[in-house]
Amino acid sequence: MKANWNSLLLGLCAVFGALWGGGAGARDSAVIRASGHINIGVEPGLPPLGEYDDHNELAGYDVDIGRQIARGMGVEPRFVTLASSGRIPYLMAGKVDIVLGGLTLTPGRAEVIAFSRPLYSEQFAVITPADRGITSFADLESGVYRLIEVRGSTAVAYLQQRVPKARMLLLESYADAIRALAQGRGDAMVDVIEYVGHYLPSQPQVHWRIIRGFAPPVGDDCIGMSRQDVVLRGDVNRILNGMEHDGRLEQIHRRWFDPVVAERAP
Amino acid sequence: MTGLDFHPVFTRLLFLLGGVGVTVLIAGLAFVFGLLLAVGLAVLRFENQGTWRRLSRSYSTALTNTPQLSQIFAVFYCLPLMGVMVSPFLSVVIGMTLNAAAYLADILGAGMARVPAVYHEVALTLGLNRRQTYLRVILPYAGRTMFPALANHFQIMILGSAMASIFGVEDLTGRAYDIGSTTFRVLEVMLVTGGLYALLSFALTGVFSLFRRTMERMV
Repeated sequence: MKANWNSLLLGLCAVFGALWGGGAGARDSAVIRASGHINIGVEPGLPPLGEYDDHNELAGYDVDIGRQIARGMGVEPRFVTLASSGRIPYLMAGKVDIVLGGLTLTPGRAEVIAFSRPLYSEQFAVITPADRGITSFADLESGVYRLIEVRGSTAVAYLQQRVPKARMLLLESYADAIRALAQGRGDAMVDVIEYVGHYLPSQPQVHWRIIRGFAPPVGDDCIGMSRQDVVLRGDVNRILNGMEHDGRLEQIHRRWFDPVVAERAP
Repeated sequence: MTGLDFHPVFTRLLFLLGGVGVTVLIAGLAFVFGLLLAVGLAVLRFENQGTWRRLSRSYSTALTNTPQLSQIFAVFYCLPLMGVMVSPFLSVVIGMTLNAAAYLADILGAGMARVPAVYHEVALTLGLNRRQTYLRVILPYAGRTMFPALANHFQIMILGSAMASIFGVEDLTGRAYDIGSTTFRVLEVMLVTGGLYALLSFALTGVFSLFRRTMERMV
């Protein structure tokens, strides 16, 4: 229990120095091709973008898109699972070469990573238990209601700007946020209904109210990658353009999003 | 050079430092309440041979063999199922208190077992009742003997309180995550936060050493 300040300073300097001097960065496209595989970040807790299927295999929109990108580059896809808050850090630390997981293009994010062309547009909805009495987005402006959001999601910044008085409880995952909302820890959540809708049936005792149409499309969902590698960005965009041209992009979107809209979201 | 940029973190340093107080408060409250509960558990163990002793031991076994995260999770999500709603801050304090009590009871129990028999005889000779014997003889001796272990556990609790952020508490780690999610400089903010935890831990070590030296001089 002896305080040794010299050891502490030395240890901190060693950690900072090692990271400052020689830390890892994202691999460039030449290295990716030479290695024969591409590391793709996906979030398994965000259906329909990513989830584990009945055979405990990763599946979802992002997984299909990732496979197509790998195929287009002539390499093998290697999926790396991560959480919302880990998407950009994983990319910046070089743990993944590209990242999906509902990554919305925002000016702030564009300062640190590069984005592909859009995959699709997202739109926010208010998700609230009907008995809380929230009938419109404007109700949230009063600051009376407590919001539950997922840390690192685009909705947090959107709400801080649109409803600055609203109190917010930030949790780590959509499953936690919906459970907490159902238990009464908060009154509403604002997020993309296509993502959150999957979790609502897990709380069948709650009569959910979904309020849409208060916001314009909040942004484009893209693939994130290193800002330095222009070649990789060109490759990814070329593959996505090809997929749009031959209908694969639309097909994958329909496969994963149509059932959500039709069956899962109340 | 890896492109590390600490500027966005340093401009939010005051906000980050505000989390230090929350971290110390969570760990401090949980330690104090955990210690009170631990005294009860240790006395049960010391005074009884039968059911109460087994119950006290079972409590420690159960809580030292399950993750603290699961225990806080249970308080945070299970209590509302029984109609009891406590705030995220209180949920974390309760969860950490229950966990700390299990470890501290083991530490205090070991300290109480080391009280020399002659101390008990002296207490008896002086006509002290059991309560007075505990308060004036056994617990002070056990506390002094086990002080390093108790202080180490408090430091572990300071570092372990980082999991409060998972439950939406704006402690040091929670604020670090907030800064990371808005600036995307997660590596930088986590390095600074790690440094702050290290400084906090070392400062506490200094305080505990000073406290111990003072205590020894008073005896």
